[in-house]
Parts: sequence; structure tokens; C-alpha cells
Amino acid sequence: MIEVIKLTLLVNISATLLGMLFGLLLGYQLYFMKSKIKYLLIYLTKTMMGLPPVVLGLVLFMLLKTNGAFGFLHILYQPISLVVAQTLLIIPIVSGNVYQLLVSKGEVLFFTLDMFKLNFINKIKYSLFEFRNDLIFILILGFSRAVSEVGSVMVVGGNIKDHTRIMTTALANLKSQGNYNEALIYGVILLLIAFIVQFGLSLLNKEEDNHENF
Amino acid sequence: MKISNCYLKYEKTNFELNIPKMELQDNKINCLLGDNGSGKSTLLKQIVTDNCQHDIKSKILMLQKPFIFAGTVEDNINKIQKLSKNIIQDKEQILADLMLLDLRKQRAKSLSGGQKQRLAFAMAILSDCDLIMLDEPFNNIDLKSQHLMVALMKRLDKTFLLVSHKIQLSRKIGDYFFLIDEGKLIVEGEKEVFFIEENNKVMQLLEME
Ligand SMILES: Nc1ncnc2c1ncn2[C@@H]1O[C@H](COP(=O)(O)OP(=O)(O)O)[C@@H](O)[C@H]1O
Ligand SMILES: [Mg+2]
Repeated sequence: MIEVIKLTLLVNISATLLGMLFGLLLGYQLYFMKSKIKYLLIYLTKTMMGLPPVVLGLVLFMLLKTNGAFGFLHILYQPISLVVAQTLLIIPIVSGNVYQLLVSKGEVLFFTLDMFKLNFINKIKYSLFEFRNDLIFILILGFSRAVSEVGSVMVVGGNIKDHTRIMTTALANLKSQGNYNEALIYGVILLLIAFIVQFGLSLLNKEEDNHENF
Repeated sequence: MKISNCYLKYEKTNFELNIPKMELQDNKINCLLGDNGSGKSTLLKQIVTDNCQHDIKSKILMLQKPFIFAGTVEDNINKIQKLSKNIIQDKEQILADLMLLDLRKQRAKSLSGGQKQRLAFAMAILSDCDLIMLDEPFNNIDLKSQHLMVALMKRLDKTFLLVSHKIQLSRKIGDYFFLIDEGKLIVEGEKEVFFIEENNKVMQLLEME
């Protein structure tokens, strides 16, 4: 059981961090984009935010299987495939939310920074700092997506004991065996992990309870 | 300060800003008057973003709805000084004049509307730019705050470009006046030649207040 918890944490956390990184890049890219396809990409991102994990799992499975386009990577049924699957699920959540954040709050900040002729990199730095509380919340959203899903990791990981089994897939497995008590324990531990992570991240968000005076 | 070739067209709303030439009086309070939607904010933004020609070395615009950074009042002041790279000598005095000293440790986003406005005004002043543009700085503030801000503007020997729909106040504190209508400058001049019967549009504005 300890092994399962360890792998779960490893997969969820690395997927969240990777998803955040790529999601941020894409979100900023979307915001600053001038091209006509911008709005198409925004609709696409929003659609992907609601993508059912099993669907992504299935597509990824087809790509990763031996004769698939990425079969040469040989990562199907390997722990790394879990990270890949969850990262792909998190990216749209992050980029969609980052884009929305920049549209609603970024305009005035960037205009203000432009007055001082800040270069692009510095503008990004300022905005990351200025919007840190919103970004922490987006990070929490990403993590939530990771801890709560079973579909994609089940399909690409195969729920192999001591290899690609994580809490959600183990839970699903125990339930189908009729082992409800142990399944419930997994459920409680999952909730605990979610709680601890959310709590820890919320601590970083110091201004959370200080509402804006409007 | 000379500004020229200020042109912009919004296709969506069919609004056109067209100001071939405009000369601000140095170290004076220049007032820009005009109806809502006449293009005042648009003009200020065009100037600050260098979308027209000008000979102004450094400039800042206090937006109609000013941006306040996260953190305390002090954080905001430090940030603006870091951004503008100017070290102003009488910073303490300016903060005192605007009654901001006691608010230093307070979280800027929790300030009252008038206090926020005063903070934004202080930030514009502390940037120490050659031209300070103010877009409706006296909106939604109490008379005392307004008085503090006006007194400071009078005390400092700086070039201001002030947009305010408070005509009487502008008339009282301004040195030079511009009237903009539908994106074009139609009248300008010093107080004595601006507020006269012959300038129908100016008189209309005065009567309406
Ligand atoms: N981003 C925009 N897109 C289209 N029209 C705009 C935009 N910004 C301003 N306008 C139009 O330009 C005109 C002038 O606006 P503005 O400069 O804000 O007026 P004001 O003199 O009240 O400050 C208005 O009619 C407004 O509707
Ligand atoms: Mg305006």
C-alpha cells in the first residue's frame, strides 16, 4: 500500500508541475497571440478542459502502442505514461484559466508596465508575481484534476500491481473485487492527500481572506 | 512640449481621433476638456504609448481606473520608483501632503476608493516623469482628498495634462485649456481667452455643470 501511495503522489505531483509549466506557456502564448487562429485555439482549449480522461487515455493508448505513432518510445504500461496522460489532462485546465486571468486582469497591468518600457520577459515576471494568488488557485485546480481521475491512467498504465497501480485505479480494482472496506481506506487516504496538498498551497496564498475593498 | 500626428480610428465604433498638432505649456497645468466619448482618454493613451510624435522624455498616465499592485501601500510606492528608476527627493513630503504616511503598512487593495485614488496619484507624482497625465483623478473622492491633490499639483513645478469633467475646478486650477470634440481639438488657449462668450462649446460645458 505504501508503494501505491508513493507512486500516486509522484505521478500526481509531477503531472501537476509539468501541466502548470506547459499550461502557463500556452496560456500566455494564447493571450499575446495576434494571429487569426487565436480564437479557434481558445475554443479548442476550452473544449479540452472538459475532455473525459478515458477518451484521452484511449487516444494516448493508440499512439503509444507498439505500432502506434509513438510506439518507439516503449512507455505504454510504464509509470511514465501515467505522468504523460495526466499532464495532458492538466495542460488545458491551466492554459484556459491562465488565458482568462490575463484577459480579465492583465490588460491594465501590461498597459501600466508598458509605460515604463519593460521588456517582454520582465512583463511576464511582474505578471507572475502580481497574479501569484490566482496562479496558486489554478495550480490547485490542476492538482484536483490529477487526483480525481482514473480513466486515463487505467487505460495507458493498465493498473499493473507494484508497477503502474495508483490509488484511484487500485480503488476501482478493489471495488470490482467486492473488497469495499479496503477500497474505502484508499478513498479516505486520497481525500487526506488532497486536503493536505490544498491546505499547503493555500498557506502560500496569504491574501486569500483579505477581500478587495470595492 | 510638442505633440503631433495623433491619429487613431476605431473601426467598431467608427470613432476617429485626429489631432495634427498640440502644444503643452511647460511646468503648467494643462487641462483637456470635452464631453464623454469625445476622445480624451484615447488621446492620453495614444501619447503614453508613443503612438504619436512628441518630444517628451518621460511621461506617465494615471488611468481612469488606476492599477494598484498587490501588497501594501509602501510596496506600491517602492514598485513605482523601481519601475521609473527615478529617486525623488521629497518623497516623504509628498506622502505626507497626500496623507498617506499613516496608511503605509495597509494593504493597498483594502483602501477606500478615495484613498486608492490618492495612492495612484502619489505614484504618478513619485514616478517623477516630465509629463504627468491624469485621467479623471478627482472622480469619486471626497473634497478633502481633492483639495490635497490640487494643492500638491499647485506646489510642484511640473507639467500636467489633466482630464476632468469638473469644469469649474479645472478653470480654477488650470493654466492652459484644450477643448476636444469628436476626436478633434476645437478650441485652446489661456484662461482669459478660453472662457469667453464667443466659445459656444465652452460656455455650453460651463452651463451644464
Ligand atoms: N477599444 C475601443 N474600441 C472601440 N471603440 C472605442 C474603444 N475605446 C474607446 N472607444 C470609443 O472611442 C470614443 C472615445 O472614448 P474615450 O477616449 O474613452 O472618451 P472620453 O473622452 O470620455 O475619455 C468613444 O466613443 C468610445 O466608444
Ligand atoms: Mg475617459
